[in-house]
Amino acid sequence: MSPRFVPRQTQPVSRARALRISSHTAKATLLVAGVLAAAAVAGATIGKADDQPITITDVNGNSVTLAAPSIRSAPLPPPLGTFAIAIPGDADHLVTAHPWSKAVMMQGLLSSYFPQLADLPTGAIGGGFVPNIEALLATDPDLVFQVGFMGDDVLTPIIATGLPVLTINVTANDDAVDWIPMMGAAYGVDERAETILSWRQDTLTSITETLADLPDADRPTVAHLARYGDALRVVGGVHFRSWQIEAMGGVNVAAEVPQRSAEISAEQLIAWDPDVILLNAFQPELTPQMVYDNPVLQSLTAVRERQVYAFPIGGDRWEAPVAESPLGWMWLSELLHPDRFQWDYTAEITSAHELLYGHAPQAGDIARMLRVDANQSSAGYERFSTF
Amino acid sequence: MLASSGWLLACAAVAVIAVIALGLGRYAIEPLEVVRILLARLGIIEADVPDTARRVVELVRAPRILSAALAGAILGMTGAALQGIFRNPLVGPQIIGVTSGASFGGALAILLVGTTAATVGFAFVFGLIAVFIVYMIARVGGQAPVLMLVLAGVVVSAAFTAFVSLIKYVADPNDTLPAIVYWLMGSFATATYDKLGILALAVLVSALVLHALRFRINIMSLGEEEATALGIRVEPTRWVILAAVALGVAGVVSVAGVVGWVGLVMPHLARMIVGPDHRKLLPAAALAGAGYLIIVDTLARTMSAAEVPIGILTALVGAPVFAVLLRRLHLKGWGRG
Repeated sequence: MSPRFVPRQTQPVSRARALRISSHTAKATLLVAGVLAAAAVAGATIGKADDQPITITDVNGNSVTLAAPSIRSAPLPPPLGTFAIAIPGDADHLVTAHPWSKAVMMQGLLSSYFPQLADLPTGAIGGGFVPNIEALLATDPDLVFQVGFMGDDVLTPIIATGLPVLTINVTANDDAVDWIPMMGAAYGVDERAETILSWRQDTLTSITETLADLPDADRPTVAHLARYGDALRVVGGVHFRSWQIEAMGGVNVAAEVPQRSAEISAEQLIAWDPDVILLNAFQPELTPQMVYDNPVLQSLTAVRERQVYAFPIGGDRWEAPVAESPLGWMWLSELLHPDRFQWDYTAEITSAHELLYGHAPQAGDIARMLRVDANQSSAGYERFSTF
Repeated sequence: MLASSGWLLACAAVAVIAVIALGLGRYAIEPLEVVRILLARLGIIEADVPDTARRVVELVRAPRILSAALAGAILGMTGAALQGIFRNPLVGPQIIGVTSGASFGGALAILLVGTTAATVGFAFVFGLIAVFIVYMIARVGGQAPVLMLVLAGVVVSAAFTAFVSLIKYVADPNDTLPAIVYWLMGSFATATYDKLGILALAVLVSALVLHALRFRINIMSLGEEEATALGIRVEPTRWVILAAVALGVAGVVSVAGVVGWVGLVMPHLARMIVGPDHRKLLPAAALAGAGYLIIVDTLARTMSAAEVPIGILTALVGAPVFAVLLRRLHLKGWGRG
């Protein structure tokens, strides 16, 4: 049983290296320019491209013109918080973030890469995605990102302040392919964004190709629990996570549920009897063992065969449409089809983090990201324990 | 003789509804299989039943159906008692503040603690606190006139509803907020035997107190002056009844959230059948509530893959039924003495 697909390691690494070099060069240029300006010799030489106005049109047809690339953005929707770090490659381009986003920054590796994130304010966005305009203005942003699908009430108050606003949609697809070039343009790093986008698309393409001849009978059924506790909440059919399950060669048992996610009874889960259960990373205390110990769920295939897995947490939660999604796809594709995928996580995660954040994880970080402690009692997780 | 066979029939009807409900669900189990599982559990027959079906029937459906039955029974009974002592057909358990108080307690527990035990405990304590505040506001010169009680109930309900909104505002929109919202809408989806035990205890105490006071509720439904003239100490009696109601309703709210309309509509239905005598009305409202809530909860868990919040269904069914009942009120049943 030789691996049919051996992931490429060299390409992302070399890309990352190239980017780091170019970013160092840029910093050096700025430094020199700054010294020159201070000496009052040639003050007008700083980044000529920066002075060109940038016009960006979002997926909903809103058009904004920025006098210069954004350096103080307010990414209000949760997945954009870490994108606002990954796209420019540092934590200096955002002035606020959604509380969920801040939470994962503190919980995962980003706070160790960028210690200044500990002081990032979160008051600009609250429950129901309603912005707090005064808190938002207090962070002095030059650009705001907001959701475009939750009605005018969450949008018009921001537009009324005169701040430029770009919107995103969240559908049952990988919408990040729209966000990445848009944010790249906003930060004036189109080439970086292009590299990040191709890594995302190349990873997906290679997985899709490897699964091209997969018979339907070999697609395991999967339930992604968006909440596990007293009540069960499952990812329904119209959700990025449902698309993700299908794209990684699984079948979402709750595809018939017409909501993004819905409360279900334990009996419904038993009736579906998924082969694999995925646990959300928004409840970081949640472990597969809690499901294995639940007396009501003992007869589930996923419990009997111990195929319950908690989603990894890297710079962000891999289950969500985030910059690190390709890593989540590697993880999920290998869980669902261990005979077809054997990714080298040390190499992939290291090169991805160098590409996105300019930092490499330390020894032990990778096992922590893959949540080896929580998942070690689950079938087949030995393969992740070596990292 | 005729009367007692009527009661037997009503009890049997609720039992039949419960057994049918036990055979319905998203996981397909043959009705005969359900009966075999039940008989095997009761030790009547020796049967080798599939583990999955057994777990679904015993651990998922049974506690849920029993919880719905107990909750419906106590909501119907407390509604009947309140309508009697307040002499007002529009009164339900919400009116004395206990529902909103318990809601606040439960929401606070989900926000701060997150364990089932805390939700139950907080809902219970704050339900009783709400009634106590109503009592303190309504008490004028050692007495609490009915009008003052009702108005105080409205005030306290409004305040606790605002506190609940505040909690929803500060709750984490991904994690705790959906939990709070869903719990507030009412659901038996999370029923377990542990929760059933708590509910049963609250229901038992509450029902026994109300049953013991059934004659006094009759007399108090004649009016305050008449009751005093007949030798009832109105104030203390009313407060014992209110405390019993608070206990029963807080028990329901703590395990299943806010289940509206049952306590308002079921007593009317029962009154149309057995008349206004609380000796008959209290058990009749309890049976009607139990049967009704089992049916509604069965709909909630079988209609679609996603759970339908039970509060939506009880309101959809309850509101038109209540409208019809109101139209008939002056014709039948609400007459006294």
